[in-house]
Order: sequence, then C-alpha cells, then structure tokens
Amino acid sequence: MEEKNNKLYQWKKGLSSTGMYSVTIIALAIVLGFGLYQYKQRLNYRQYLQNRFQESFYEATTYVDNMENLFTKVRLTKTPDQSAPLFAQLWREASSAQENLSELPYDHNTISKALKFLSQASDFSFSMTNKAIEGFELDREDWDKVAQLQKYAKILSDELNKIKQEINDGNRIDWEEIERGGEESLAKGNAKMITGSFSEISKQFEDIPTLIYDGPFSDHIERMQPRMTRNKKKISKEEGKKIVEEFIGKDKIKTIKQTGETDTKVEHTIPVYSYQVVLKDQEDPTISIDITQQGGHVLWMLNYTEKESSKDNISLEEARKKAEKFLEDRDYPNMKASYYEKVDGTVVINFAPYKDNVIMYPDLIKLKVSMDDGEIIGFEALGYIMMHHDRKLPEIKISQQEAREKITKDFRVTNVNMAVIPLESKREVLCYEFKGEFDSQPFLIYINAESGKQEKILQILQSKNAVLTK
Amino acid sequence: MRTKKIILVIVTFIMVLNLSYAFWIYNVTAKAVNTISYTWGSEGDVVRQIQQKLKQWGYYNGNVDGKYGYQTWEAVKSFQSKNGLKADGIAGKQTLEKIGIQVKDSSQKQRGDNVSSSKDVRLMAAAIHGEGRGEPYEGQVAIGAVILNRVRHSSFPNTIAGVIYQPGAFDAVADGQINLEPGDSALKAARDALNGWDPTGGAIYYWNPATAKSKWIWSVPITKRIGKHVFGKK
Repeated sequence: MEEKNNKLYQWKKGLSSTGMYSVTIIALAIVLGFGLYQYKQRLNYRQYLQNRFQESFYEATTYVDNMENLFTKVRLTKTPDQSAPLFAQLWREASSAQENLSELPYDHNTISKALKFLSQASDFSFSMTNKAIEGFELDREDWDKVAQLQKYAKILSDELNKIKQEINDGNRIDWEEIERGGEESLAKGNAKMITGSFSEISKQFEDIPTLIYDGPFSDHIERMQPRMTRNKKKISKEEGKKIVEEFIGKDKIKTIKQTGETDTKVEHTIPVYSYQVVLKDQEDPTISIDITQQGGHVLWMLNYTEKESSKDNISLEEARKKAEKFLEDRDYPNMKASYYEKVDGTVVINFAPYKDNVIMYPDLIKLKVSMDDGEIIGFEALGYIMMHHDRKLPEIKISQQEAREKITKDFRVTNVNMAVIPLESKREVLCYEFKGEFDSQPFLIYINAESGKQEKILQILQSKNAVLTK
Repeated sequence: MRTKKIILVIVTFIMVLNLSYAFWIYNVTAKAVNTISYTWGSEGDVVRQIQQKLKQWGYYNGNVDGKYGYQTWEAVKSFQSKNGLKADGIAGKQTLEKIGIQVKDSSQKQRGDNVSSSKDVRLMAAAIHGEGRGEPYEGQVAIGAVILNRVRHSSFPNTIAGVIYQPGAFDAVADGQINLEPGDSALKAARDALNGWDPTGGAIYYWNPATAKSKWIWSVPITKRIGKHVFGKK
C-alpha cells in the first residue's frame, strides 16, 4: 500500500516537474466532456421515446373512457337514426384506442386480449352503424352485445385510469423497463408497483364471451370450416404423395419427400401434409406443396426455381390459356380468369368458377405462370377450399334496370354480369356487377340482387402489365 | 523522466486520436434511414461507379476497386462542396444524382407503368430480408404470410406498417436490420405473400427454437416448421 502511494506520489511529482500536468488534465477534461455529451444525447433520446409512449398511453386512456361513455349513451337510444351517429363515434374511438395501445411496448401476451376487445368493439360498432343507417332496428341480441361491450369497456377504462392515477401520484412508468423485462420485472424492482396493470386487464378479459356479428374481426371468421374438406375422408401420407405426383406430373419428378404434417393440437387450421419435390433436372428440391389431409386437395404449391431469362417468351394471352388448361386438366372446370399482375417474368392470374352465368368470386384460385415458358410455378387455392360448394342462389328480386337506377347517372356502364361476392365478414351476396367508367377511370359497382343495396365499389387499376382492383 | 514524458505524450496522442475518431464515426455514419446512401464501408458496383466518375473529373486518385474507403470519402466530400451539397462524404440520393448515377431503387421499379396490388411490397420485403435472409425461400414467404395474418387478426395492429413496427414484435426492427436493402429473393417472397400464398397454415407467431427467450411462446401450438423457424397460432 505504502509503496503504491509512493509510486503515485512520484508519478504526480514527475508530472508537475515535466509540466505535463495541465496537458493530462485537459485531455481528461475533453474525454469527460465528450462522454457527458454522449450521455446527454442518450438521455434526450430516451426522454423522447418515453414521451411518445406516455402520449400513446394517455390517448388510449381517453379513447377508452369515451367508449365506455358512448356505449352507455347508445343503450339509451331507441330508433336507428338515434343510434347511428353514436355507433359511428364508437367505431372511431375504439379504433383509435386500439392503435394507440398497440404502440406501447408491452409483450404481446400481456396486451393481446385488450387489443382484440378494442378491434372487435370498433368493428362491431361499424357493422351496427351500417345496420342503423339501413334503417333496421337493433334486435335483442344486438343490445345484449352492446351491454357486454360496455361492461368490458368499463373494466378496461377503470384499470387504465388506475395506472394513470399512479402516474399522477408521481410513479412514472418506465416504458424502457417494461419493454426489456415485461411487467413483472417492473413490479419487482419498484416497491410501489403499478396497481392497475395490464396483466390484471388480461386476467379480467380471460372469460370475455365470443362476439359474432357481420364484420371481419367477428369470432366466426376464425372458426369457419373449410367447405371442401369438411366431412371428407382422411388420406394417408402415401395417398398424398400420389396426389402430388398427379398434380405436378410424374414424368417431371425425380423424388418426393414428405417433410411435415400439421400438429393435431392446432385449432382452426386446415390440416395438411407437406411435401418437397425434386425435379428431374435438379439436385435440390425446388417445389413445396401442401395437400389437405381431409379430401386430399392441393392447398398451395410454389415452385421457386430461379429462372435465368427475364425475357418474356410468351404473351399474357398464352399464359392465361396455359393456366386455364392446367386447371381443366386437374378437375377445376369452368374457371374464369379475372385479374392479373405481371412482375419480373411471372404473372399471377386470379380464377373464379363461372356457373349458370354467375361468377363465384369467393372460390378464388390463383395461378402463377412463368412468362419464360408458360410453366405453372404457383398454385393457391385457400379461397376455393374454404368456400367452394354447390350454392343455392337466392331469388333475384331486383331487375337489372332497377339495379342500374341505384347507381349515379355519371357512371357509364359498359358491361353487366351476375356475381356472388364475399363481404369482409365472408358473408356472400348475389349481386349485379356493373362494369363502367367514371371520370374516364374504370370501376366495378356491385348492387345486391335481392335488396338493391350497393355492396361494393372497386376501382380497376389497369396497365399493360396488370389489371387489378382496389 | 524522459521515458515517462514520452509515454505521456503518446497516451495523450492516443486519447485525442480516439476522440477525433469518435467524432468522425459519428459524422460519417448515415443517420437518416436511407437505403440508397453509400459511405465508409460500402462496397459494390455503385461505389465503383462513383469512383470511376470522380476519377474522370479529377476528384479521386485511388483505385477503382468498389470499396468506399478514406480516399473515396475525401473525393466525395470535395465533389459535394464544389457542387453546393452538404459536404458530409456520404453519397446519398442527391449526390448520386449530381454525379449522374441511376440507382436502381426497387420502390421506384414499381412506379410508372406498373400498377401493383399493394404499395407495401417494399416494406414487407425489408422486414422479410431483415428477419429471414438465409432462410429457405418458402420460409421467407412464410414470414410475409405471418405479417399479413397479423394484419387480419384482431389482437394486432390493422396495417402492415403497424404490425412490422409494433414495439418488440420483430428483432430485425429492433436492431435496425430492417433498413438493409432487401435482396431479390425477399422482394419475390413479399409479392408471393401479398398475392395470398401462405405456407404457414394461418400462423401468427414464429420463433427460432434455438434462440427463443420467451417460455410462453412454447405454449403456442405449432402449425409448421420451415428452415430454422417454427410457426404457430393460438
């Protein structure tokens, strides 16, 4: 110890004697200054981030408060015209709440129940807005759903306000800490833990009843049973292999390897066998394909061979013919091509069944065709497998003339078809499909053939490489 | 005494050097999220083009080797100050335009004559590239499919950007790898996913069994295994 001190003393003495004291100190000061500058920068960024999170949190709280209040008010309305504006507000408030809450750095498991609730509340309100605008009274079930949503909006609002109260009491939330370790670590590190926590919300939302209504986030969507595989016999892996052979062409295949099958524990999914195919001129597998275990249908196929040539050797017309032939050969008769998009030497074409002059848009099959040699390099039939069945079409109650009159006169109709279209809730409606122009832009307008309601407007995007809708 | 003096001088010198290096790094690093900027450490054809042009005009004396080093940096800087650009030594969009180099930006490829079903191809491709480069092609399509399945799912944000940038959702977003220029394979995979191909059977989660930290994730039923990733839904 003494020796050490001695050395230090000598060193210091040496410094002063050589006049290097000041130089060292200046150098140290610069380093320190730089360090402080960096530290301050980091603090600034951190603060900025904290502020953004804090803002999202406060905003989410406000929106949820408003929701609770609006649900209460809606329950006090009687006629559709009274309810409609309130549901419209609810739609907006809930959607904003969802957006803000999803920006907070909670891990997904903690926050997903609340996010789901908000998505559904918003979506449900939108569907009720539409119902009310059409002049329909809400029925008993609708009112029950409103009451249920109000109850959970209250729970969420109460918990969020508890957290807000904590913040107002001076217990700032360290969002960085939440992001790093989840909520528990925050609770452990902090004696005054945040009482109303998201874990608590998650627990309270555990038993939230399912909500079924006419919208894309309704619980029925996930539970939909695929129509093509329902009650079909389960095939073996070997039978699946045969189906792959037939689908791709036995003469082209070197080997087929079965690479996986869907875990039986998974709910709401289509059980498949997965295969990988090595073609004759290849060393490695270049095709992946899934076959449904029930019924043995091809769910999708993707050939990801890198094609060297980027030149288009065939025309779009030829590509369409090849695709049609491919479908016919594989027992998908009467499929009609609709939209397509060509990118980098491949074209994806949408097909839908055409039966008794009606296009069945829900039963979608997509084909990817190589513009190099017209080979089919992709097949996607989820829509078809989910939806395809022998439909009993409803009786047409509106004439084409009446339907036309529902559309603005400025729309110049060039073509009319009958079509079954899927709405966002997957509900299907039989419509007149009016193709025409407005402002020299092409559009499709769908008028319900039963009710005369305008169900959808699609803009057609056209170029030399694509025809798509928006 | 003399040796000590020398040591001190050296130490001070190193400190000053460190400092200036730190400042320099700070200034040289591209701060803006700009995928088409070239700076210290960049390599490739575009760098070669920059060097060639600057050499022609007498700004650059080094080899045209396609490596963005000190000399290139200096050359770009003097080119920038002569042309009224901010002399930061980073060849960004403006500088490249002035030099007369057309950079193939994949987001621009889509413009013009081409209409596309979704303008999010590029963002999606960046996410796929950041998360799954090195994965088999099918696995890349699968990552895109998971992003889209989340957009359609009620427990997640309802836009592609919302899902990708959700805090903590993707490692490649957290560590900035999403800002890498996506490769052709990622772009193709993004298009396939947006066109509806879903190799995952509707999965909304995926994880790498070798590195997954969360215990919770193992309670998610598995729909598919592709490459290094496991896909699942609840």
